[in-house]
Parts: sequence; C-alpha cells; structure tokens
Amino acid sequence: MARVSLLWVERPGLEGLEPAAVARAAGVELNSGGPVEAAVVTCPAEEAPEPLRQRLAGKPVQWLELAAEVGGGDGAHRLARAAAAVARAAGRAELATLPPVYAPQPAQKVLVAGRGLAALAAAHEAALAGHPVLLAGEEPTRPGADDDPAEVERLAAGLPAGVELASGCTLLRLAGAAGDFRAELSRRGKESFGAVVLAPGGETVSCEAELALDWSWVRPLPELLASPPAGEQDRWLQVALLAGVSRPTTAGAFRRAVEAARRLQQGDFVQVTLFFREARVASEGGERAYRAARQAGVLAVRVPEEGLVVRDGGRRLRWHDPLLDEDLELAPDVLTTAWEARAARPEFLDDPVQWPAWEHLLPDNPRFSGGRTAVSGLYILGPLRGTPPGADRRAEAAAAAGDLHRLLSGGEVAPMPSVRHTYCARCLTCVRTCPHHALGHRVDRIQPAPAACQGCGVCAAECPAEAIAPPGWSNPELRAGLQRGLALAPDPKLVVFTCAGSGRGALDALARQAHTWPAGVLFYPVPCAGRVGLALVLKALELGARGVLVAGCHHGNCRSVNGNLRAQLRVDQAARLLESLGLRPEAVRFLPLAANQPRRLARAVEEMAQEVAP
Amino acid sequence: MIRLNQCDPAFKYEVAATPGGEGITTCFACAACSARCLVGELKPEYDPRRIIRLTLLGRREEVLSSPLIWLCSTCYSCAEVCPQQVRFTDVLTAIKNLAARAGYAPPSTRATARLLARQGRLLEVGEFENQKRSDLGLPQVEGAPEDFQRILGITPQAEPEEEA
Repeated sequence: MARVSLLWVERPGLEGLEPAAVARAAGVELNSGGPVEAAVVTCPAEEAPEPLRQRLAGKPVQWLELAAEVGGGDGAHRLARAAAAVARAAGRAELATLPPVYAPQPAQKVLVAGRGLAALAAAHEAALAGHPVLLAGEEPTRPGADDDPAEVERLAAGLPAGVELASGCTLLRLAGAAGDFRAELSRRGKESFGAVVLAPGGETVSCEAELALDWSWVRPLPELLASPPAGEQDRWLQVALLAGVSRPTTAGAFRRAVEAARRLQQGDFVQVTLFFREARVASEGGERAYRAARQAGVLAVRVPEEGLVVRDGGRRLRWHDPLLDEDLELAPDVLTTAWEARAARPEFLDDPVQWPAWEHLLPDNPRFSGGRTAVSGLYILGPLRGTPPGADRRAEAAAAAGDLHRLLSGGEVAPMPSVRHTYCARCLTCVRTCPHHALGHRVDRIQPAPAACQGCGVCAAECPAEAIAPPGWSNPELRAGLQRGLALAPDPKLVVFTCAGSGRGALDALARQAHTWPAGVLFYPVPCAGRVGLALVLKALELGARGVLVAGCHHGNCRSVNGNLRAQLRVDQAARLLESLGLRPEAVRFLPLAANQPRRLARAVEEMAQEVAP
Repeated sequence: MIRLNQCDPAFKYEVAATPGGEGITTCFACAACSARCLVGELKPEYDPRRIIRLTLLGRREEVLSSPLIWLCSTCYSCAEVCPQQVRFTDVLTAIKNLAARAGYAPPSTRATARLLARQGRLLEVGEFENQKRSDLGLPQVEGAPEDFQRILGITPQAEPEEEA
C-alpha cells in the first residue's frame, strides 16, 4: 500500500484550519515539497495549480473539496470533520494503485444514416469538428418528409470535404458503443465507427391513423389549403381539424396544423375547431402560431383522456368539456387531420439482446436532449425522434455533433473500467445494467467500448463478484475510505453519499454559507447514486454508522438514465434486510435531491442525525 | 348537451369588435382569472373562464341573459394575472354593453340610468341640501340632466325613460 501525503492548497472555507493538525489527526503525513507516493489534495483537480498537477501526474491522487465537507462551526468541530474527511480520502488513495488501463484508440469515423435536413446538418457539423463522416442512405440528399427542400438543397450542395456520400446504401445492422460501433451496410459490408447518427427522413402520415374515420370523406389538409372553403352568412361552414387526438402529435406537426387552422379560419363564414390532446407548442414559433390562431377565432378544444367519440366516420364528434362540465357535439361540414413526418424505427433496434427497449433508449429525461440517447455515441435525430423541422432540427444536429466530438476526442472521457477476468463469472450483470451501453462481451470476456464509459459506477455496484470497477471507484477503495473516515468521525456516526449531479452541488452551496454539520457526519461524494449499491450501504453500518443517507437525483433527472432508481431500490432492499434482523429500517434512506435544493439536504441530514442521537 | 352547429360563431367577433372586448379570443383557458377572482370566491357560480368559454363557443343568449355577468366588481384582479392579456374586466364591460343593447340590463342598472337621466346625478340634491350649503357659504348645486341624457343617448343604455 502506498504511503499517503496530504497536500494542502489553501481555499476559501479552510481558514483557521492548521494543516499539520489535520494531517496528524487523520494519520497521514503533511507534504512540504518532498517526494509523493499517493496524495490527498484539498482542492478539486480542475482548480489545482498547474505545477502541482504535473508533479502528481500518474500518481494515485484523491482530489478533495475539503471546504464543502468541513462546513462551519467552532475550531474543534471543524478539525474533527476535516480529519475524518481527509482520512476517508486517504483510505481511497492508499488503494488507488490499480495499473492504468490502456484503452484502444476510439474509432474517429462517424456514420450518419438517413436523409434530409437532420442527416445533412449532422454530417456537416461532425465534419467541421474534424471527423471523417460517412453519410449513408438510399438518397441521403433528398429532403425529409417535412423539410424545406431549398434548405436541404443548399446543405447538400456545400458538403465539406470530410463527408463521403454513400447513396443506395442502407444500415442493416449495428452493434457496439462509442468508439467501437460495428456496422453492416448494404453494398459496403462491415465497417467500424466511433459514433453513429440515425436520422431517417420519414414519411408523412396522418396523426390520426388510429381513429375510426371515414378516410374517403376526410379531406387532406394540403388540398383544403390549396382551395380554402367558405360558408354563408346564415350557415357557417364548420371545419374540424384533428391535431393529435388519439395521441399527442409532434411539436412540428402541431405548429403546422395550427397555422393551417388560422388560414382556414380567415375564409368567409368559416369556423375551425381544432382538436388536440396536448398543445405541443415547444417548437420555434409554436406558441406564437397558436396564439395567432386563437386570435383569428379558431376554437381550441383540448380533448380529455377519455377522448373524442367519433360517430359515422367522423360526421359527428362528441366530447366532454371539463371547463363547462358539459357534453359538446359538433357535426362538421369538413373534417381534416394534421399530418406529421414519422420515421419507422430501424429493425435492428428491436433486438432486445443487443439494444435497450425504445423507452429506455430515449428516456423522458432532460439529460438526453440534443439527439443523445442512453447509448453513448448513438444519436437519434429528426422525424424518428419527433423533432420539429427547421431550426430545431439544425440545433439538434449541432448538439449531437458537439457531444460525439467530446466523446471521441477524449476531452472529458472517464477512463475505462477495469475488469478482473479471474474474478469475472461472465454473468453479464454489468452488460445488462450499464446505463450507457458501454460494456459488451467478446467471446468469453467483458469488454468496455473505448469511449463509452461515463464513469457512473453502476456496474461496480451491481457486479456480484467485485470483478469490475471504473478507475477510482472500486469497492475496495470505497471501503477503505469508509473505514478510515468512520474511525475518526465522532459518535453518533452518519454516512451521507452524495451524487455528483445533485448532492454534490447542494453540499458546495451549503459550504459557501458556512453551514454547520453535526460532528459525526461523513460525506462521501460518488459519481452517481447508483454507484453505492447494497454492499456499501451495509458496510457503512457494519463500520459503525448509525445511519446511511443516499442523496441522488430526482426521478427522470439522472444522467445515467436510472442510477437514482437503482440506488433507491438498493436502499429499500437494505431497509428490508435491517427489518428482518429486527433493526430500524429507517437507518437507511434515499433522498431525491437537486443541486439547487441545499436546504432539503440540510434538513434531511439534521433530521437523521437527531434520530440516531443517543 | 351543447351543439356547436347551433351556436353563433359570429358572437366572439362581435364581442371583440365592442370597445374593451378585443382580448377575448386570445384566452387559452388557464383559469388564472377564475383562481384570482374575489367575486368567484363568494359566489362559485361566477367563473370568468366559464363566461369566456361560453362566449368563444358562441352561446350568445346564454351569456347575454345570464345574471352572473353583472356581478363583476371591476377590481381588475383577473386582468392583472392573465398571461395572455385578455383583460377580462374590459371584456365583460363589452359583454354587458351588448347585453344592455339586447335589453338584458338588470332593473337596478336601469334604475341607475333613469336617476342619471332625470337629475344628472345619483344622489338627489334638493332644497334641504342647498339650504345647508348656503349656510356654509358653498355654491348651490343644480342637476345638469341634459348632459347625461345626451351621453345616455349614445350608449347601449339608451331609452332609459321608456320604462319609467
């Protein structure tokens, strides 16, 4: 085991703490310029002075935001908390001596499969970021179903030199993750790619294909717009426009429907009633268009869950208006529907062994916007995702290209997880649980894709054999940190695991307010709440903690898709175990948190500290 | 059951064309006005959003004949909270003007109009009041009903004397 030195970098919040006293209490030596084997540094890596970073390059280092974990309070209190925090970090530094993993270079080429604005814009952006691009599809330069042809033509005419155009070539199969995608293309065979962008152009279909409408009677919207109908003064023409009744339509289709409704309403003695389940105004100009339509006199009807009762193929429509609590009926003279560009899902994505289910691939989660999917390095754009045409689609392609460049250039890539093959039972738990799809298996071994790991550590929490660990976050390291930190923390001890996405930010905010924590609290920052797992919760209790709090992100807000749910599941499991042993199940808790909810964290910790007080 | 085919699509345009009613069509039914309305708190049947909705649907008779439209205290709380600048208080003034024109003004409103037309003010100033004023050295007050008759003549409150 390496001997750990404390390197003191003075920071706001550390005033009044004596570095020598902290080092002595934590049982490590204070470094004053001599050689270093392993180190704990009292500031985050990105804020360390450059000479210090160079001096420590290649050594096991624990960067510790000490000020956040110490908090306010009197001198003795702060010294005790500082010692416990440094000891925790030292415990990890001691063991963080795993040999570095030499990852193969991630493949740099980008495959853009599809056509139209989304595909062309993505190819443009990726090429400008310096990646060779293969733009493949039946006719990649043909506009998508609802694209502006002039804009697509302009983009197609000015393709950068780095883009290779492969017409008449389709993507048949795909496997892998960022840095190591294996694709099979018709007329080209198998090729390797660093990132893959799926952007099919889609087909225009009615949004209401599921409704029992008499399609011979329904008038196509473009035809109506070409020759707008009119009514008479004593007999107004009733037009019903269905824009996402059976299910909400896309924002782009809604905007077009709303604009069409406004134009039809301007006809003489025409009353347009616009039916929808959700007013999808989240597209460029969407809200403006919706307001303009209402101002023109379009009647907006939000159809409630029970939906619209369609009689005689649509000649009579009946619904319940919750505002008036009355049944309403309309016998339209003209019935039309909104049309949307919809792309069929590539068949290879329906392989449950190879790919996550669709709702898991595209979770309803703000972290997966801008084309991103749960699979690192795979992007889904345009009609396949329901992105409105025009500026929204261009922005999405640019965001995807930026993200893939960040992954492939190694700028912020977490080092590859190391797998101890002698421990590994090939149970594939890690492959199934990795939220980023970073782990694959080749013949008889687990193999991470070179640029896909996001360092969340869910694999390490779930592996039943302790065979896998993202560097710095292995179970032995975390255990050693817990052991040394808890040995110094005064009773009653409480362990608070804080996720980097939420708890960590809340902790920093409280540190800036010099918040005073109860003496026995040991904070343990983890990359994702999902890293904690069952074993670590129980270990903390075994080492003398009276309570364990895991602070993770709110539902639908986890960077690792479901790391927060997984953490909650494991905490619940630990609580059941405690209960079956006759112990207090409330000793372990999960706290859904956001980085801007510091008071919530403070309250939860104080509440727990009070409960475990003797 | 409300049949839209029997409603009057022109009604909302008519309200919008009456001074004050311009904002009616922008409503997107969020109910901020209803939540804020102090009258609605005391009399739940009075619901600004419901009145707007019925107007947009074209329920002309139902809206104009409703006694509820006369309950507004013109406190402008609804206009303050409206995210779409409907200005419901002004919209309701427009609706009330249409209602009065259609002969739906309630007796109290008509009585008020009659008072104005007759004496030029709501509070009657007689000999007793003028005697007191002269004791205090104040000028005499005389009604100027002609002005009000002229004003009332060009408002929907027209012909107040008819029923008198």
